[in-house]
Amino acid sequence: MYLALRELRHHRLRSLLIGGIVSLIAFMVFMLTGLTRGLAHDNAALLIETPATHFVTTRDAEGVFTRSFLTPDTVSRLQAVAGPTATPTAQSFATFSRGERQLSGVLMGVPPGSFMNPTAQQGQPLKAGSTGAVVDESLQEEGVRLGDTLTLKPGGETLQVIGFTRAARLNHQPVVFVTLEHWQTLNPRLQGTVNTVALNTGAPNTGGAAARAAQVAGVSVHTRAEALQELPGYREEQGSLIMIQVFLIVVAAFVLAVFFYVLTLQKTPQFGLLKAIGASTRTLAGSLLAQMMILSVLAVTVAALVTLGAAALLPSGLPFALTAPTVLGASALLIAVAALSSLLSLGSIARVDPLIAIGTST
Amino acid sequence: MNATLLTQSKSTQPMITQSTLTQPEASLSQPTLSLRAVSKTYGDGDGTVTALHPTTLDVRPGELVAVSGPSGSGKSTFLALAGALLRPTGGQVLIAGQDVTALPAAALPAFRLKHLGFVLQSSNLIPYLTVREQLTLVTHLAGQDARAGQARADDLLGLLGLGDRAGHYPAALSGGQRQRVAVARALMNDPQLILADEPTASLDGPRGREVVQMLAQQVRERGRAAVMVTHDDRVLDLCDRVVHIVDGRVN
Repeated sequence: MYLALRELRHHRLRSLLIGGIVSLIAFMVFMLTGLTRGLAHDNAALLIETPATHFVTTRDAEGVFTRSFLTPDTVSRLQAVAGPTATPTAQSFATFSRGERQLSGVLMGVPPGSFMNPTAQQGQPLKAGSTGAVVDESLQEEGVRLGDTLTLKPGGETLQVIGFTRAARLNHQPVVFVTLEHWQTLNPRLQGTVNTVALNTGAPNTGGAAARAAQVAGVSVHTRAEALQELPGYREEQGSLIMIQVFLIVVAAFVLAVFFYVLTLQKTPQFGLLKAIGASTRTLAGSLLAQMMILSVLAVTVAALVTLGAAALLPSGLPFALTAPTVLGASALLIAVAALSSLLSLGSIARVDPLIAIGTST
Repeated sequence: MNATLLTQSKSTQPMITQSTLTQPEASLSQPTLSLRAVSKTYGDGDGTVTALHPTTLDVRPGELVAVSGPSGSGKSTFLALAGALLRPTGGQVLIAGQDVTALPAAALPAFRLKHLGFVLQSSNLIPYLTVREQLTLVTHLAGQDARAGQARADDLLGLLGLGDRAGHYPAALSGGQRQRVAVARALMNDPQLILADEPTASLDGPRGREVVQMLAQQVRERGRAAVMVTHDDRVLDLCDRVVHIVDGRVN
């Protein structure tokens, strides 16, 4: 630390420049992480936060809800093997208007007594026989209020908003929950079929329910995570963002590794001198590692603070979600990468022969 | 560094005449540095190059020995062997009674830190440390008390006339001042043996002489031993003994 701190302080501009590069890269990683998570939530908060652990679809639908139609007969067979908590859920895309305003969303039918029934943050939850709707709170930004009437198009059926729930988005659209019974009267063409049966194997007396459900003819069982990946566009959207983050982290590792390696090569005579007067390789390696850590910890901290500041300034409609644990995780990864990138330089420090301090080459 | 050395060697091609400056050394004390039939060869078989033929030499406390000779004569090899920076092919090197050829390589840095002081060529200060820090670095590396180190550094700097330069960086010092700082640093750990590699290389006559005078004075006052490799015949009169090396042979 004795040498590390003094060198960084003496070469202030150099330290600032490399710290600045690391800071910018870390800032981009944080912003992209926020965006990735924000988009994931905007796309499919319902599947991210649902209590369901598995979803059953028809085998040919391969986990895609909108391609799956389970007959009432299959649903009863599933409930017979997986227990009464196996919850049939139906969904359709809906366009509706509130006054002059045209809106769209996912109309989802859930049995009121089930674990799929959303809790209401405001207003009332769905009850047996309700003809109203509990909608995602993001519709508040579109001006929807409790007690408003939504008119479904083109049939003109009306739904009264009785409650708002959170984290109910699917396919980048708000979810409008109605009772399954009501959903079926609104969608007579589907003749009583549902899209999926949700299982919650975390609940008591449901062990093995997923395996038993898989035995039912013509269906396939998918975990929540698998169903999320099957959601149209989800994997592609997340994949490209995650790829950019991985690239950034690799670039950060290279920038740091090369920068410190070049510096180390340049300082070879100095390391030779230090070794000649009695500094051990361990001391010198420790010094380099300390510099790397000081720079990257400071740079990442600055980037994290800037990110939190920037996040507060983002327009509310922008899908951005960043939590402290995520920032800490990404920071730890960047710092670990910085430590790893010092290996290249540590090798060359170890190879410096103190003999070079003396003019033996002539 | 090597480039500097090369140009130096060419510009001041040493044509040192046989010197008989050897002063009668009455000391009967144990030698601080003792080379016993030390030799160094590189390569094996037909390609063997002998850098130093078997050499025996003792340097006693209070003695400053100059090693002179033309470029490529083996002076640096000699210094590297005496400074525990290079392992001899044959023979033994004893420093302060310890056979350093018997020490494992990993123990050598700590040994040098404790027993040896090095004054190297012009670029031998760390650019980002102040003059005082160049000295306290030695205390720090040895893991000793920082406060005692500060006090000692200030004493030494005062002694070598650098008291008002303590807070300066090497870039702000003249060549002579830098070499005096290097002498002060070499004295920081109160070493038994000081090894100097062309300490006057980048200095003009009077400045070079001043640095060697200072080294000689410290060696005598403190009863330490010193070996100085030099091509600078203007400072040889300040040394107790001059050893000439030609083609790896000491005479």
